[in-house]
This record gives sequence, structure tokens and C-alpha cells, in this order.
Amino acid sequence: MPGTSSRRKSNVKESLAHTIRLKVNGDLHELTVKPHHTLLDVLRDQLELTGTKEGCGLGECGACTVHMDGKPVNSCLVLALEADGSEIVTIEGLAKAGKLHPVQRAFVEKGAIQCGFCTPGMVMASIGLLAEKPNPTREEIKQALIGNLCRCTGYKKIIEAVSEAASSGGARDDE
Amino acid sequence: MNSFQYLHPQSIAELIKLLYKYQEKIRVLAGGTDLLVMMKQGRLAPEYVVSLKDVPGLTYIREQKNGGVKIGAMMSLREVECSESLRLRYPSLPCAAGWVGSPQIRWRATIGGNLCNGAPSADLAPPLVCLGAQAFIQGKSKRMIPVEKFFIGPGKVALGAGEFLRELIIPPLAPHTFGTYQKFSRSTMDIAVVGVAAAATFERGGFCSDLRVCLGAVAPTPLRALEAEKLGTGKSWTNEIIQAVALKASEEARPIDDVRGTIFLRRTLVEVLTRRVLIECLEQARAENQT
Repeated sequence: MPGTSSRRKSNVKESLAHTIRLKVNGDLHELTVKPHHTLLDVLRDQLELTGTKEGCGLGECGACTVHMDGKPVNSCLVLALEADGSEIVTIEGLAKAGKLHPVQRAFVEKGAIQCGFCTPGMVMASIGLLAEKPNPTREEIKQALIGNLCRCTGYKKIIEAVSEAASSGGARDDE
Repeated sequence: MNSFQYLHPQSIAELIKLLYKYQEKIRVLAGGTDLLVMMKQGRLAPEYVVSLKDVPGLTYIREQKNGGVKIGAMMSLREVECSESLRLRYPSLPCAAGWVGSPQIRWRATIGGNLCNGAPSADLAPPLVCLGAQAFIQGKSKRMIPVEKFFIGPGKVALGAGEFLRELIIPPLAPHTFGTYQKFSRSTMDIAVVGVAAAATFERGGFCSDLRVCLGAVAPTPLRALEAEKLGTGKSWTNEIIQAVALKASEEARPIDDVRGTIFLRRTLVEVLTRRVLIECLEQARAENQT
């Protein structure tokens, strides 16, 4: 992974572990983390919520998008310690009682998924948009997803899916 | 990422004490969208990282009685972008904030961080310089300097030992002042190849009584195009005048060749973008006259 290639030896004796409290998908967790752990590290490695993906690790690709206190952020660029006390929603927290979130359903129905690696981030970013703008234009959808890369080049279907979710009231089902 | 000690002071006094104690060993963490990237890439390896997260009183947009605005350094760029108050009074700031990265980045990135990185391409710098904004710096004492003087060189800003950027103070504008910012980048996510902001004050018709033009990414720091400003001040703007100002601005730019663009491209872009921002200022003025 390009982001963390240079793990040189630090001249700090030993960085202290800290305890943080995170509410993730409605459940409260008390976790022990190191200063250099990102929110993404904690979600994937400690909580085993591997739906959130690591693409570039540098905030370019958006695959790691989660909601932090209701706002879409790149979890690879948030230190776990900075998330202390916040409320996180990941892709795993969207389906309710076995029913997909309307945005997830629209992605499935519109065929907006190919390899699926970008999908969790795309869905989280889309929900972030619909919470602010329940009826976005095509241009607004494109702008909202500018930080989410899809290398299968499925953008057209993704934009259609977000439109579809909006017109069927996707925003109302937001967490 | 290298390991480091994470410090999270609960007050400004505590923050200053830490900054003073560790000096060049410490880096301030605001939104982290630049700092963490540099740390992950190994370009920076601070021993101590001090987070502003728990320092109270750094997140606000406050309208002042005199018509100006104060913005806390920890205000996120997304909040700057969406602020109704700023959109009405200083639309060039929300405009510039909206040009930065993706929504995910803008929810974390802060206005203070955008300046403190000292990037010549910092999107918020040109409009702040055009607005005559002051940087409120606090350390063992407090001082104010114009944002224009805050930038010293690539990655270098005017913060001394133990100091941090606390607030941006934007003075009230003269009536009928209009401003905007335009940027050219290779993709929406990339930093500026060139950014240009202008603020122009108009009297009746298209007579411009004051003009400021600031260029981004074409010098070691954001750069006022002072000669271009003179050409546009005290004149009724015509196409010829706008063109002359734009051309002068491109002459004043001191760009470098790099992966994002050649000197020739950058000079050409300065001319094009300056022309566009001037025309936009004039159009805003005309729109106001019609209402």
C-alpha cells in the first residue's frame, strides 16, 4: 500500500496507547489505539468492519468514506484519536432489519456496481449528498462524488443510481 | 506512518505551552488532510503532534458590528463554503473553499490549515489577501499581520516559536465592492495550476475606484499583482482596460515549470483567469445596479 511504505524507526521512545470511545453503527466501543492508527485502521482491524475499503490511503479515492457525526469524511485521513467521542456510520450500518438502504438498493438495481471496491465509499458519499440536497441535479451528484474514484468506469450508472434513490425518497431513510 | 506522541491540550494556554516546549519537534494537527498525507508519505515525521480538536473557541464565523467578519482558524472549509453570512458578504471565500478537494476533504480541512501549510497554491489565500484580511497570531503575546505577509516561501509562514494562527479578521468592505476567485487545475481534486482572486470597488457606471488582484501558484507565495491593480484603478472599465490589467498581471507572475504546468501555460492562465475574475466583478456590480 503506497500510503504507509516508509515506516521508519521513530526517535520517540514508545508512542503511548490511548483509550477512545467510539459509537459505531449504534454500538458503543471502548478501544485502545496508538497515535498513528487511523479511524480506518480501527474500523477494519479492531472492529472487523471490512466493508470500508482502503484504496489510496491519501484522501484521493474515497473508498474509505464513512460518516463521522453525520458528515462524510475520508477515514484514512482521520486519526482514531481525533474520532474519540464521535458517532461513526459505516456501510455495515445502513441496512435496517435485513432491508437495504434505498441508496444501496438503487446501486444494485441500476447495476452501479462492478468490482464493488469503490461501492461502500460511493454509497456513503451519496447519502451524505442526499442528506443535504434531497433532489440533486446531475451536476451536483458529479460534484459530490468528485472524491470517489471508480476504476471500472461505472460512473454513468452510479450517477443514475443516486438520481433514482433521490427520486424514490432515498434521503428520507438516512440514519 | 511513523509513530509519534499525540497531545491534545484543552485550552489555548496549554497549547501555547506545548508549542513553545517542543518547537521544531511538534506539528499542529487541524483537519489533517495535508499533515497526515505528508506523514504517511514520510515527507514529515514530527515527534509530537498537537491536536486542536479539544481547544475551545476556534470554530466560528462571527459577524462584526462594523460589518466585518471574524473566522476561527478551525472552521472547516465545507462550513466556509456553505456559510450564508459569507456568501452574502464575502462570496469569494465560499467560492474558493468550494474549489478545494472533495466534500470529504472539505469537511475535515480547515481555513487555518489551508494557510498554515504555506502552499503557494493555497486556494483561500488569494481572496483573503484581496479582502485585506488580517491573521491573528497568538503565542506568548498576541499580534496581527496581514494575510499577505503571512506567507514567506513555499511551506513557510510567519509563525514564530510557540505561535499558532487563531483567527482571520476580515475588515468591512467599502460599499459596492465585489470579488471572486477562479482556479485552473488538471482535475477538480488537484491543487491549482493557477488561481486568481480580485476585489474591485465601483462607483457609478463601471468606474473602478479600487482594485486588488492576487495570484496563486505562480510565485513562492501568493502574489499581489500591484502594477496590474494600478492599471485598473481610477478608470471606467472597458474591454481594453480589462485586457491591459490581465496582461500586466501575467507579466507580474513569477511562475515555475513543474509537473502541473509550464511557465508559458501559467502566464497564459494568469491572463485568462484575471480577465475572467475582472469581468465577473463588473457583472456583479451591474447586477447590483439593476436591482
